[in-house]
Amino acid sequence: MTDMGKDNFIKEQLEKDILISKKADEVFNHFLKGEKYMKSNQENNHFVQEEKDINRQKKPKNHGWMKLVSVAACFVVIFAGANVYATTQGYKNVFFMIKDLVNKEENVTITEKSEILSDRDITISYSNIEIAEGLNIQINRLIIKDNEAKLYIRIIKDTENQINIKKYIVTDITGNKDVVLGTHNSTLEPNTIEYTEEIKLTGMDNATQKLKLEIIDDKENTLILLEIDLLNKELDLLSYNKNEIFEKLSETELKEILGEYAYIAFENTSNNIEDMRTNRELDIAMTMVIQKGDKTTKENVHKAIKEYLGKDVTDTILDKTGDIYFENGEYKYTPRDGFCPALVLDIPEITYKDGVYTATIIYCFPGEDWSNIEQLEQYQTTMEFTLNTNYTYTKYCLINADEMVKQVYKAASISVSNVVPNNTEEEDFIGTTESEENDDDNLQNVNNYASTMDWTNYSAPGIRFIYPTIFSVEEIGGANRGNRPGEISTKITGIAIGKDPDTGKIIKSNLTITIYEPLYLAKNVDIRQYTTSSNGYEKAGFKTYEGLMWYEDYYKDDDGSKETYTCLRELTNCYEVYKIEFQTGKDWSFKVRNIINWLLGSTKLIERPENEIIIMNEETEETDVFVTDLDQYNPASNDVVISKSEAQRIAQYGFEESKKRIAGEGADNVDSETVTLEEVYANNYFTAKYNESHKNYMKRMCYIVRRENEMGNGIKIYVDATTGLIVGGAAFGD
Amino acid sequence: MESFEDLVKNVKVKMYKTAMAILKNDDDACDAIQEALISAYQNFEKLREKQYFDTWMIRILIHKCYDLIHKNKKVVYLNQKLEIDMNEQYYDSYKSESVLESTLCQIDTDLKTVALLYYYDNFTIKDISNILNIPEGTVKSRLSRTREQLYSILKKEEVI
Repeated sequence: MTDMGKDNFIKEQLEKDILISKKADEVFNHFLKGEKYMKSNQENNHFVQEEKDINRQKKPKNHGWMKLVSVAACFVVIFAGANVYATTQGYKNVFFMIKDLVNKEENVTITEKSEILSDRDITISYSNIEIAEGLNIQINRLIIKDNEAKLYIRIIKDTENQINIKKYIVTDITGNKDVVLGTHNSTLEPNTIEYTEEIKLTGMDNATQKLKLEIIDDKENTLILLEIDLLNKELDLLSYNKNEIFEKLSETELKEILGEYAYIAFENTSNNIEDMRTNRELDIAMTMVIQKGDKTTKENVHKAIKEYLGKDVTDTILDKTGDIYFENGEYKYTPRDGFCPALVLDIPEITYKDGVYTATIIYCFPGEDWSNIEQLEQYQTTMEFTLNTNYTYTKYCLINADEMVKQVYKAASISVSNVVPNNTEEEDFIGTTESEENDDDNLQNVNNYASTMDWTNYSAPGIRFIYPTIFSVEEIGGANRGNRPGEISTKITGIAIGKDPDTGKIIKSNLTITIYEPLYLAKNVDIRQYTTSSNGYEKAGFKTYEGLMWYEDYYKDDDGSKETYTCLRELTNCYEVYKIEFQTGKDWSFKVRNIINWLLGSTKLIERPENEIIIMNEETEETDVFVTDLDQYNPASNDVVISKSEAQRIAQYGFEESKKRIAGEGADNVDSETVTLEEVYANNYFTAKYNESHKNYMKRMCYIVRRENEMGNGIKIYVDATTGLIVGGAAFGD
Repeated sequence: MESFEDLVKNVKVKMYKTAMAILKNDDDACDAIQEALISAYQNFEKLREKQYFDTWMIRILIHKCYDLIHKNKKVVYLNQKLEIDMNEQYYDSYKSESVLESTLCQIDTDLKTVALLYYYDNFTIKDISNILNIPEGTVKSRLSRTREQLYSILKKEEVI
């Protein structure tokens, strides 16, 4: 049956249901009775009003003589006043002044002609727009009636919100117009949480299609600037206020930039500060160039230095440092074991004034030993930035850095032990930082990391804010891996350093990042069905610098420690879908975007040549969920990766297929479906050739999805819990 | 021209189902309906195209439902617990009698509202996207899953 047919059937069935509760029925009845009452009341009131008017007209004018006296008195006063004014203006008396005024030429021209507006009722939107924390607006509708236009805005405010809206300004911006149609002062009473503002618009004409709405608070800040498209009923954000823009930049971009490229090359104990600084400058510039996907040529690296530091080093080769050297026209790194000059731990404050961003940065010097970061002394410095208007590598230019390294915190003043999770029993994790034994583990990982890292391909983790800092990278299946789409590609385990969002404390946590081989989906496939759970949603404005669209999956473990993210990239003829899973020791979110930028942008861990891409579409997907060559099937792990519901969805293909192969009894009995998670032997149930006997292969952790009929005959489908592929099945019963 | 009363009578079942699907509580649903009726009555003369009354009314109602959720979310007093339990009991009995409810309760939670708005209230995908503040693509994908689930449930019940 077609979708339309199904839709009609569903509608038909649902409309049959006309059951409503007694109470609801009473509400309707009472209201409708009341409505009649109200209507008759209105009619009565109307009648009473008319009667009053008639009575008023009929009343005799008993006090006419008093009015006459009053009017005469007024004339005397006005005449006296006007006479005095006329003499001060050089006239003999007021009559001469009036004569002169009457004889003056008329020089007033009529510039505005009132137009008759067609009546319209335009419903614009009932969606909330958050203009500040706890302050939402809805631009509900525009009603034009009897030549009068009114814009209705609903304000929804949390009691905690302290922002006071002062006024609303509506401007006609159709075409090149810029005509203010209405300024409305807020009628909000204190402590009101919801109300509707009615903004009267004058001077609007029938051609008006676009309005600009500006909402201003009592401190004269623009809270929001919106474009209202009356034709398409669309709202577009023109901009937030300056503070808001700054706040957004500082909270996201600048922190990212600072976290990655903070210029803290000087260590007060060093005897060669200049070399360290040059080295750091090069390091920063090279990282920027690599992340952009460019070669670290002299021109590119020097350009990045110029953009970030304002330093012109066009003709100078900066090759006098220990870590970086210049060879064959390119700057290259000398691999060093995990060394990092400084680690940004926190950026507690960023202020903005006259185009300059001043950031306060707390950092430490982990040197080569990253295992005891919380034991190290922490330092504070300030840095000042301006914006580059025209840039290739960085939007921010560092204009000043505080040379005085001030020691502000002793390590002992930072409490981390109570927030470091205890995951020593978890095999996936590499231990906490609380014991010496674990520290050794961490050190081992530093070496592991360093030996795996190729500094020209991997961006140095270097200075990171809320970044994983110590890694062990395990590429499953080796460099020439033939992993199937959806199988685990890479596992990264390490320690992440960040700020607890609840307590604000700097914490360390174990982190495991699991990256799956990408899927390639045809463009006619509804991506969201493949990339997200039913709770998944597109994260608006949450894009990596590579332009990947992000989808977040709410799937979490019972302790809330596992988060799965999916993103996709549009290629020429298909979508490339990535799934990445983050597992931490406790429920706190990392700035995963940073991590993924690093993973995708620098490491190129999961890139495949286009000719190797197997594009899945609605037709091919069914066959693609079956493992056809079980001899070659050998996933590196046996971890449970897919969810039960995903397994059920995949098993559906197995049930359909089983109906073609045997009687398939019970395969349609969805109600009887049960799912268990067990280790079973993969088998040739779906791959066996004619007359080939049953054959078992390796043991795999599988979801066994089972359906049966009333007679107890049925089918079991084995869905590999790691790869989500069907690796076997069985018929049971008679 | 149909009166406000007639128009409300035509849409009352839809209103109740919609409010119940969102609020899952008879008392709250009735409150939202009452609020919506008052608001609609006060603005009725502003509705020029009376043929859109159903859609307009349901929009107001949905708005009131979310208002109520928004308000209720803030404080739940302990002594309301009993009341809530009782409502849940009522809801359970209602659920077992209502085809719509018994069907909707078998599908995923986040699909329910989309199902109701599309199949029952006849909103377009764009409208649903606006009402629920989710992208149109999400509405489409949810709808696609909803369609399969509802179809198989209803087909089975029809056979029975």
